[in-house]
Amino acid sequence: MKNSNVRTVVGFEVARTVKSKMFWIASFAVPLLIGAVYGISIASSMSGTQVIEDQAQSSFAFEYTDASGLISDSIATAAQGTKITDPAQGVEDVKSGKVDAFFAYPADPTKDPITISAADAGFIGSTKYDAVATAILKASASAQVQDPTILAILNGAVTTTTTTYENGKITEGIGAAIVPGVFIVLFFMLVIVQGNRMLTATLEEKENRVTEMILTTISPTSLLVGKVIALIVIGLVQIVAMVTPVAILALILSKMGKIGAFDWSILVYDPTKITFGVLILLGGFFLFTATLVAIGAAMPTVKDAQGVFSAVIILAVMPLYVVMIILTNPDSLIVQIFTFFPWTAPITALARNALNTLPWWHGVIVIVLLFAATALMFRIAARLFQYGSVEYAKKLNLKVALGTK
Amino acid sequence: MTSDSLVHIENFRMDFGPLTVIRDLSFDVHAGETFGFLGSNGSGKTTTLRALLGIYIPTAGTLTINGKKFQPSQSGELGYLPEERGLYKKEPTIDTMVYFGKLKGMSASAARAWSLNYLERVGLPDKAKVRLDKLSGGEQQKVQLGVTIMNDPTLLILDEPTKGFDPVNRRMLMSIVEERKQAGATIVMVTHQMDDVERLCDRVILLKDGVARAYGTVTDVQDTFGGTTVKIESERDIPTSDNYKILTQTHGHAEISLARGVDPAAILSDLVTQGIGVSGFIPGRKSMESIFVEVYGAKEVD
Repeated sequence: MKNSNVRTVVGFEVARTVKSKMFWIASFAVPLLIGAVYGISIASSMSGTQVIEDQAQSSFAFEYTDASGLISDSIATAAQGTKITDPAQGVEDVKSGKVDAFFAYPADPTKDPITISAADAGFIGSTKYDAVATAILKASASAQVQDPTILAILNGAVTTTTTTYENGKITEGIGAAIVPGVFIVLFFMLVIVQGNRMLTATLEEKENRVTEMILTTISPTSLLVGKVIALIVIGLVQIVAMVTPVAILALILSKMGKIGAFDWSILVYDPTKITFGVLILLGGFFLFTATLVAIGAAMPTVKDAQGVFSAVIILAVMPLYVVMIILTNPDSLIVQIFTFFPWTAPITALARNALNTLPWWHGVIVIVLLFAATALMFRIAARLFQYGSVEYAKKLNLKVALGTK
Repeated sequence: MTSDSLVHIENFRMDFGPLTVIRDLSFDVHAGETFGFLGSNGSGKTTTLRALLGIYIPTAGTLTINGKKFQPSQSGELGYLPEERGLYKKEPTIDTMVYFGKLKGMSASAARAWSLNYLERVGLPDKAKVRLDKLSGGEQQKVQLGVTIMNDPTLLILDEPTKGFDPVNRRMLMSIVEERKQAGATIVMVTHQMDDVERLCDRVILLKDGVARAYGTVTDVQDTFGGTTVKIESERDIPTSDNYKILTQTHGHAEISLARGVDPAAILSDLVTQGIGVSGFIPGRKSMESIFVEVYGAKEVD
C-alpha cells in the first residue's frame, strides 16, 4: 500500500468535503435546531410556570365552607376569603357576581375533592381557583406543624446517598457509566452522520465514471483505506462542529444560572472500559464503513443503494429497541445474540460496557469479531469495488465478482 | 515475448461466470510503436485493457507491462484514457487535475504548474477554478485528456480516444497523440477510425470472438485480407472474374480486390484484350475500413 497515495486520497476527500458550504450548513443545523427546540421548550416552560405562579398569587374575593376544620381563618382572610356555613349560598353568591369563587372544603380532603364554583375566567384563567384553593389548604395544614424539620420533610426536602457493593468492593454509580457511555453517542453520531457519506464514497467514482482512471493510479484497498480515514476525520470535524455550539450554549446558560453546573467529580475514568469503548467504537465504525462501501460498489446508483442502506442502519440501531432488556437482563439470549452478532454488537456491547455488565472476555470476543468481520467485509468491498465500479450502469453479478479467481 | 516488447499478452483468457469474453489471445506491443487494437463492439478490447491494467483478474494467461504485472505504483509511466470516462464533476478543474497528478507521483506544485500550462495550451486558462460540471462537454474532454497525459507517460493506452469528440477536439487529440509518438511514447489505441489506424498505427491486431483474426503491420494485415486493390476508370463496366472481386462499380468507376498472387498488369492486359477502354488504372492496398467490414460484417459493425 503506497502511503503517499493514501495521504493524497485523505487530503482530497477531506478538503473537498470541508470546503463545501453544505457540509457546514448540515453540521451547524443540528445543534441550531436542538438549541431552538430547547430554547422554545425552556421559554414555554418558564412562561407556563410564571402563569401558574401568578395564578396562585392572584387575588380575588371568595367564600368558603370548611367541613375539615383544617383551614386557617387568618390565612383565608388574608387571601380575601370569607367563611360561610351554607354551601348553597356560596354558589348563589357566585352566580349573582357577589364573589368570584366559592370553595367547599370536604371533611377529608385526602378522600374527597374540594368543590369549586367560580366565575368563568377562561381555560387558563380559571386554573387560578384550583391553585388558590389548594394553596390555602396546604398553607393551613403546614401551619399546624410546629417542628420545622417535619415541615421540611413534608415539603420534600429529602436527599439520599447510595453505596452499592460488588464482590465486597464499592461499585461506582452513574458517574462510571457516563464516560464509556460517550462511545455509544460517538458511534451513533458517526454512523448516522457519516452513513450516507460511506455509502456514496465509491458511488461517486462510479456515477462519474472515474473508477478506471483511479484504479490505474491506486489499488482499490489503498483507495478504500484513504476514504475511510477521510470519513473518520470528517466525522470528527462534524462532531466537533455539532458539539461546540451546544457546549458554548450550556456554558452560557450555566453562568446565567439557567441550568445547574455539571459536577465533573462524579465521572469515573476506568482505563479498561475506555480501552474497550475505543476498540469497539473503531471496530464498529470500520465494519459499517466496509459494509456500506461494499453495498455502494455493488449498486449502480445512490437510489438503488438506499434501500439496502436503510436495512443496514436499522441493523445498527436495532439494540436500542431492546435497551430495557440490556439494562435489566444482560444475560438473556437476545442480548447475547446482539452482543456477538457483528452488526448489532457495537451498540449492545458499548451499552453493556457502560453498564458494567460486559465481562472482559465478552469484550475481547466482540472486538476480535468486529475486526475479523471488518477484514472480511473490506476484502469483499475491495473486490466489489474493483469489479462493480466498472459495471457502471448495472447491478453487479456477485457470483462473478466474488467467484472470479 | 521479443526483447523490445513493452506490453506482452500471452494465452490470455477471460471468463465472466459462464461467459467467455476472450478465449486465447496473445500479442506484443513493441516499445515506441503505435499499436491499433481493433474489433467490433463487444469483442473484448476493453476487457483486455482492463485485465492488462489489473482492474480485472484474468482467468488465465500472462499480461505484463515492462515485463511485470501492472501495479498502480507504475502509474507514473502510464496514461490511460478509458472508454467509460469522467471526472469529479463537482470539483474545480485544477483541484481534480492536481489530485490525479499527485496520484501519478507528481508533487502538488509540479502538478499545478503542469495543469495551468496545459489549460493555457488548450484554451481553458480561465477555467482552472471552475467546477467541471460547469464546463461544456468538449472542455471536459480536454481536461480528461490533460489528466491522461499529464505525467508525460511512456505508455499511452487510449480506449476509443475520439469517442464523443467534435472534429476540432478530435484533431487536437490526434495531434497530441502524434506529439507523444514523436517523443518516443508507446501508444496502444482502440479505435473505429480506420483512417487514423492507417495514418498512425505501425501494427494492429483484429479481435473477433475472443481470438485474434489478424495481427501484424498494417501492410501485413492488408496483404492477409486480399492485399492489392485497383481503382479503374473504364468506358463500360468491367466483367466479373476469378482473378478479382469487384468491391464497388458505378458508371465506369470500379474498385476491385485482386486474388492472392494475381499481377495487376495481367488484369489490365485482360481488360484491354476484351476491348474495354481503360482510362484510369491505379493499384493500391485494400483499405483497413474494407478489411474491418469484411471481418466483422456490415451488420455487426453497424
